[in-house]
Amino acid sequence: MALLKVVDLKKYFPVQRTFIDRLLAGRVDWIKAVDGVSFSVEKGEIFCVVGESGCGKTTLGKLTIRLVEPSSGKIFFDGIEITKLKSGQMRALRRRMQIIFQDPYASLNPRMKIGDIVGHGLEIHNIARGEQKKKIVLEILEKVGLSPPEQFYDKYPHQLSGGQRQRAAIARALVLNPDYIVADEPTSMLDVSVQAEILNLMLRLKREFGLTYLFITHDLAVASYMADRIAVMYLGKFVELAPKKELLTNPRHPYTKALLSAIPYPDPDHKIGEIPIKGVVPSPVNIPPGCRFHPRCPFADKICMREEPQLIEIAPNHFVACHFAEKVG
Amino acid sequence: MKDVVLSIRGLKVYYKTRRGLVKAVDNVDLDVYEGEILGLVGESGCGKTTLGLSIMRLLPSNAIIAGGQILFKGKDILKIPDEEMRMIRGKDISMIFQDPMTSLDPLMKIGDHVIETYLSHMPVKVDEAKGKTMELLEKLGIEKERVDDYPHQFSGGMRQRVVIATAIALHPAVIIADEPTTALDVVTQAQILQTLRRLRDELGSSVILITHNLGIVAQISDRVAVMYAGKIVEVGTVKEIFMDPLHPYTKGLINAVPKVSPEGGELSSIPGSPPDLINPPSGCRFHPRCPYAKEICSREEPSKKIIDGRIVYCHAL
Repeated sequence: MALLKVVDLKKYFPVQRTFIDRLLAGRVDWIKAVDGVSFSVEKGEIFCVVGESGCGKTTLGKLTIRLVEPSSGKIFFDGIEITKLKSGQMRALRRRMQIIFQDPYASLNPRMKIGDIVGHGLEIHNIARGEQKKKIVLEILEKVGLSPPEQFYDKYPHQLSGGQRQRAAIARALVLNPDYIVADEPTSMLDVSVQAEILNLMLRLKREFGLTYLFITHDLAVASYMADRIAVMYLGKFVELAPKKELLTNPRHPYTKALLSAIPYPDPDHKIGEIPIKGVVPSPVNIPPGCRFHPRCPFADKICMREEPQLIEIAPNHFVACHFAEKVG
Repeated sequence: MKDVVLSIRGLKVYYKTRRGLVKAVDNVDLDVYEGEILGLVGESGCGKTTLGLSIMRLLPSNAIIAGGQILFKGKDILKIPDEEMRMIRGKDISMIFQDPMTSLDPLMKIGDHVIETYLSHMPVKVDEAKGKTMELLEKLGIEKERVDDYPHQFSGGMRQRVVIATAIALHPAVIIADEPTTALDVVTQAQILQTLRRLRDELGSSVILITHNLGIVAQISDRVAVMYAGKIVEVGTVKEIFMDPLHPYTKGLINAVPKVSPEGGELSSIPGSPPDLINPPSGCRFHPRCPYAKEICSREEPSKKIIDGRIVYCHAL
């Protein structure tokens, strides 16, 4: 059963300009950060969104829990349409949806102790206070590997290493016993040796607490370690979506193929081949007409400049948005 | 065996901070051979950038060189006067920095960055320098019509090509590339890496590639030096390091890198985190995190061992 379902979700941000510019130009440009995305995440699944910087993946993650309000589209959480909920109703649901941010140096309040940061949600949701709060927090600190928890409870974020801070951020997300967690590049600021620990911790916690993750990353290697399904995002849209193994062994979108061939493997016998695509990602203000990938695509034909390809199921559970998906495979 | 172009011996670079002396590079020996790409890998704060900056003598003002030598063409470049060092920089040894968004002057035209390099080191006129610049930019995949553009008109990858152009303009013997692709997307990164490899083949320069990304090192290095907490722990050929790492830290690092693979398989991690370099652990600096640590490891610093041509610092071997 789908825990999260998103239908044609869009988020446009107005381009910030000076007052004079606005007077003279008279129209507002929009950054189309998320431009029509539909998918659902099953209960207990790890759904990875992979894309390069600026593709809209972080905005998408925040939209799913309404940390950013959508411009249009619908979001269903456990069958409830949350796009229409008032803030009071939303707050009650918030307990069940949490987020882990990318930068553990910025996401923890430097003037609060770890125990208070982690326990804050318990107070806001009137679940526990005082001694009872402390008991719950100590338990969760132990679970995320900040052990002995009594030692970490009264520490400030600056006394912790990057990996320990990210553990505290995970503890904060878990303390309310949520169902759904958005993990936005949770390891990209960490060193590889620490990254492996955090990824393993997240996998263990997922099993233990029956969690569902929307895992956002720019690193296909990390996605291939974590994911059940992977969606590849380009300029605000999904271009391909498939179960992990299918996506990695049988990619059908030219962009996915390019990403896979451009990754430097940590193996001296596996060298980067020719990169089939050219140019750079266009600005999300001026999205190319037709298929947004066509200016860089080696397969592009007339239809690609004219008509936007839809995300179509070309094999069971394998969706591709490309006019030539058959040819690419 | 090729000749050694650059030889670092017993180098110690410390930073003065309010909390105390940070021993960023502590007694490092390293040789760079002619025409090789030497990958220098390690996690953040291990001292790899400091090592690169000391070769360029571009260390920040709170750094002190507490000992050691950097021998280039038989001369200790730590001892020569500033004026002489300025002539070496760019001409004999040059550097590509991490962030192409900040390493170009936003008020200078693209071409002028390269032209300046020629003018300051060669007896050429502006026109001639501009001609050379356009030729070089074209070789790096930038249309020569764009020589009068400004940095903001270029994408990140194009800017990094300009930075590379300034670094290679005078065919230096040694190019230090400090995380040259970290700020770029993977597709651009792959293109820049291919460019670097091609340039090494064409110019015969030695490249010291500083990075935390083991994938990049595996792709284009000939040899690899692994750094941990201010020290070199292992140096070997790229195959030796990746296929048969000897030092426990190198092993841990290689097993911790996720690979793109549909099968998966458990990633192993290194427990703990890198130490504070104000108070580094006694003995071997890796011993608190090392699964093979013995009693001697906390007491005595491991000395250099050469095993089948490979350099390792470890008591357990």
